[in-house]
Amino acid sequence: MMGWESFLPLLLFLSSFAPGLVIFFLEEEAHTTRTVLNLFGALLKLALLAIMVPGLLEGRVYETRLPLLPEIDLVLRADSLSVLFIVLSASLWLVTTIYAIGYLEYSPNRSRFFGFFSLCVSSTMGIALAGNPLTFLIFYEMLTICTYPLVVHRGTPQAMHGGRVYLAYTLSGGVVLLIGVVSLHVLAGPVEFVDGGALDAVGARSPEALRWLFPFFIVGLGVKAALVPLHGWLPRAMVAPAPVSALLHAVAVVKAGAFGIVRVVYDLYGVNLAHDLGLIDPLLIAAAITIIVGSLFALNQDDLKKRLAYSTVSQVSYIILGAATFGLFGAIGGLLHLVHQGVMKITLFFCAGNFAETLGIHKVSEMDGVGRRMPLTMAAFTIAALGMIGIPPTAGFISKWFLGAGSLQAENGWALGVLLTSSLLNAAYFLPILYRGWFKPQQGEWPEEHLYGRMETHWMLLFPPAITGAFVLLLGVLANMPFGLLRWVEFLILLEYRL
Amino acid sequence: MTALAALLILTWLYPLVLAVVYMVRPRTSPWLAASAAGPALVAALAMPKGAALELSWMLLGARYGVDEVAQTFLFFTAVLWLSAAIFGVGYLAKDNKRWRYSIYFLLAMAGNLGLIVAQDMGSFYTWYALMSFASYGLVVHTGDEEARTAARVYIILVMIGEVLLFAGLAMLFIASNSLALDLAADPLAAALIFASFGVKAGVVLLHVWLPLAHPAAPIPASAVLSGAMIKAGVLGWLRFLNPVGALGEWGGFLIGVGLVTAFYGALIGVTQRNAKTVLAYSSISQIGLITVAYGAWLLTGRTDQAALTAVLLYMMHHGLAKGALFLGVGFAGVNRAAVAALLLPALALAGFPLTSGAVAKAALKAATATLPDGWPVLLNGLLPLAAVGTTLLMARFLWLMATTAPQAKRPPKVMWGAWLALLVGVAGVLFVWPSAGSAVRDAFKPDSLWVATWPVLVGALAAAIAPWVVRSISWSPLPAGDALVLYISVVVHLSQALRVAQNSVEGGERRLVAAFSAWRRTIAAADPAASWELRLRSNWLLVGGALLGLTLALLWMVGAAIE
Repeated sequence: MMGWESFLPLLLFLSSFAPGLVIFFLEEEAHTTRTVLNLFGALLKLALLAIMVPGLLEGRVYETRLPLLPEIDLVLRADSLSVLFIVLSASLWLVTTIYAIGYLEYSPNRSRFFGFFSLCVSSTMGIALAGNPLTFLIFYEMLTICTYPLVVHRGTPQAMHGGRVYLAYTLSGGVVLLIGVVSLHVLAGPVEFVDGGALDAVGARSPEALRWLFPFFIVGLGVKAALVPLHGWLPRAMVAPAPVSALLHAVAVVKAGAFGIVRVVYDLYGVNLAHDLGLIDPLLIAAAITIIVGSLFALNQDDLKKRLAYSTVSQVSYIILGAATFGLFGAIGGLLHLVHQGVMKITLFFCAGNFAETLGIHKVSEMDGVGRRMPLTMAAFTIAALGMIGIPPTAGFISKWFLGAGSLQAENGWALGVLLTSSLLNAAYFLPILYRGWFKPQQGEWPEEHLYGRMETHWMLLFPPAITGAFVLLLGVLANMPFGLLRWVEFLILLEYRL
Repeated sequence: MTALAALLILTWLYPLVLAVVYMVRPRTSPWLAASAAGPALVAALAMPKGAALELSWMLLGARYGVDEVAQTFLFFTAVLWLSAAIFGVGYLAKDNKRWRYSIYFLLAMAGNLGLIVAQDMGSFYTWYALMSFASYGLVVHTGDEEARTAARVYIILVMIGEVLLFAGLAMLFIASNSLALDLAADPLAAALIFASFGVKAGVVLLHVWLPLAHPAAPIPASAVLSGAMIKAGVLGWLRFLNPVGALGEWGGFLIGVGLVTAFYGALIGVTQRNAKTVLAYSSISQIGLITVAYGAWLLTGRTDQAALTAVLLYMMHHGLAKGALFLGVGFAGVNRAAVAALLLPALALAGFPLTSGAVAKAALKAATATLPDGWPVLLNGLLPLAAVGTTLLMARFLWLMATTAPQAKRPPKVMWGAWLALLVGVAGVLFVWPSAGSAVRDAFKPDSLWVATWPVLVGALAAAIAPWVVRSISWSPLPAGDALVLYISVVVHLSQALRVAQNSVEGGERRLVAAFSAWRRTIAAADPAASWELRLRSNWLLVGGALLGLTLALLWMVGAAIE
């Protein structure tokens, strides 16, 4: 397909990349320009999506192809899986931008922050749109680099240390992924992501080689997806400001890793081939271990953000568990959770940021009585936390339902056991927070209270969690509505399973 | 939308909307909450059986409807919530946390009513969860040590129940490929579902939360917890496990479980020193009898009407009587006439002639009479003994009520109104309820009059001599929750082991990272002039070495694979 439509994916990337570059050159005080640029980029992205989604439903494919290396192009292609991820990142980026503006209003180095913030989202777009492994790798590494300045933004020794550990982990992961991508090229020549898998011919020719390569992809991507034991960077990256953590956990880094694994399983190997080669069962076991271990570690964390971080370790592996479950229900559950986990986790981090910014609360043990002081924030936190446990009617219940049913469908009853154990553990570390917030009386003064007139906090901090919190409920209550997320995911999975 | 469909939705939507109203406007009159169960009551009385409604966009595709079972449940549940809500207007008039209480009360009510009319797994599970989690707010309400402990035990068991139910329903869904409320064919699924609802109902060994939670909640909340909400567990059994399902063969086992529960509850209950705890144990005991009726139904091997009717009548009888008993606790130490009036629901529970209990027991007897093998003989021998136990429990309860220290406060009139209305319900409803017709006739037969009377007389006699017996032996009551002590010690040991394991793993990784940075620093510190070079080398050595090693390994592997 030629014409202007073939530039749509590139535009999608540039809509945050270009504002990002401009923002670097803005004065610190150019508050309005920066805000306008940020919001313009975010809204433009959503507008582009609004053009593309109807086309995708008609079966059109939007593709930008630029020559990069001999034989290999830089391919940006919007297929149904990438659009799922893009819709999630673009919408959450908009909310997070608003939140970040409110959060960092009076702190130094705002231009640097928002510049990298936009680049970070652009890289995520690139990852989502990447049409072949090399393009994916380029943006994957770009994401690593762009996120580092955000993690160390505060510049404290702790932040620098966290950033260093982050780089050590992710760059090593990148190297492993590089080896995987290069070896695949040597083995199979130029390969592109295709619905249902691109390696059938190679699989028939040299299954052993593909079997050996799979771990390289998984380890390379698993570092970002925080598969145990590659998760060590994540709790340390918690020193980043709240909007960064929110983005990191919901759409950018961790999610990029999980998305990559989904890509590799579905569109590179193909789920049928991966199943035939016996590759997805080990992946399933890795995901199961991560789910349990992440939750166990979350239990005893008093630092709120750290507890949330370990919870991410566990929850992101639900997505991988879904991808590694052979069968429609499990696959649907995994992809649903890609979106649901993002919306729920971003809500939790927004709320954690609100508690820190408004009252100076960083620890779970300081949260007594916070529900009375900040009812809306606490309500959003409650809904998202219940979602994480998988209590109906939240979004988390819907994905857990499909994952659970999928485990049974694939005759992996033990995986259902893993999910339910995780639910119990999630309850064990989330419900006490809710208890403190709603039922315990306040203990003394708040550590560091700021007042915002009649509102419980600044409106730019309050609206984002209120909106995402409402979505956690709506995605659950309206799960089965026509044109809903569930329909989209079902459509997608049928393509991946070639049914 | 027809009026019927609207009524069906209002059943749960109205309390839900009211809950939101209270969230937004804390100063809303408490009387508004008192009306919340109104639509449900109207629906129970006016809705024709078989009314149904499809809301396919909702959750996983929702279906609502009213059948025979739903109608009975809806009626007594709505009556209980209605009277508890009105009672609460007076009881919590001076409570400064009433606002919070109203919200949780309304949410729990919406859940309880919603699960009765839900006709698909997704909706049922959702409403069930809403009821269970919202009740936490009721149990913990007073905020004292006792309530906090009770609430913690409660929420843990709720979570366990939720998880078991999730597993059971998921298995059911995969087996039948539909979300309809269907029968569990797989024994494992059936067992999971039975255990899950057993936690809610309070079957022996799964009951430990109940004697803590029911007394800890404010009185009107205890009434609905004990009268209405534990019945949701039984409703769950009826919905998913019936005689043609896998559990059909377990009828005998369930009758056994029910009998053990009935005697166990009575035995532990009589030793308790708190009137509400005695009532909670009585609920356990009564759930045991309902389990017997349910087991009998399963044993018939067909969707037999007589046995199902017995379960439903027993449910309604116990719900109303237990609600009236709990609300009556609100008058302890205040009014002797009130304590005397409690004789009515107390005798009803014991199954004394001319009470609702006699009707329920007659229905149970009719249901068990047609059972095969020796069941009728066994049950005819044991059930009156259970009635003796119940009489003892009630005697204990009335004794504790009568000896409560006199109090100066005067209960508001609304409390009286709500309570008396419920007492009228206890006295009359079962005698006019359509499906109770033959049971009422049976209850008035001379031989059943005698069978209903003697256990109460024996129980009363035993209660009368009990003080002398008790004084002569030294004893101390089991703490409420009895077997809970064992469970707690297991959990404590597990969590200690977990913490040790976690610290060693986490500490190991931290030491590794720290050792790495320390090593880097020593290299840099050794020669400050050349530090940049060394630092670079120290890093590159590692990265480069790893890279080289991995590449070589890979080349070897690819080479080997291609050959």
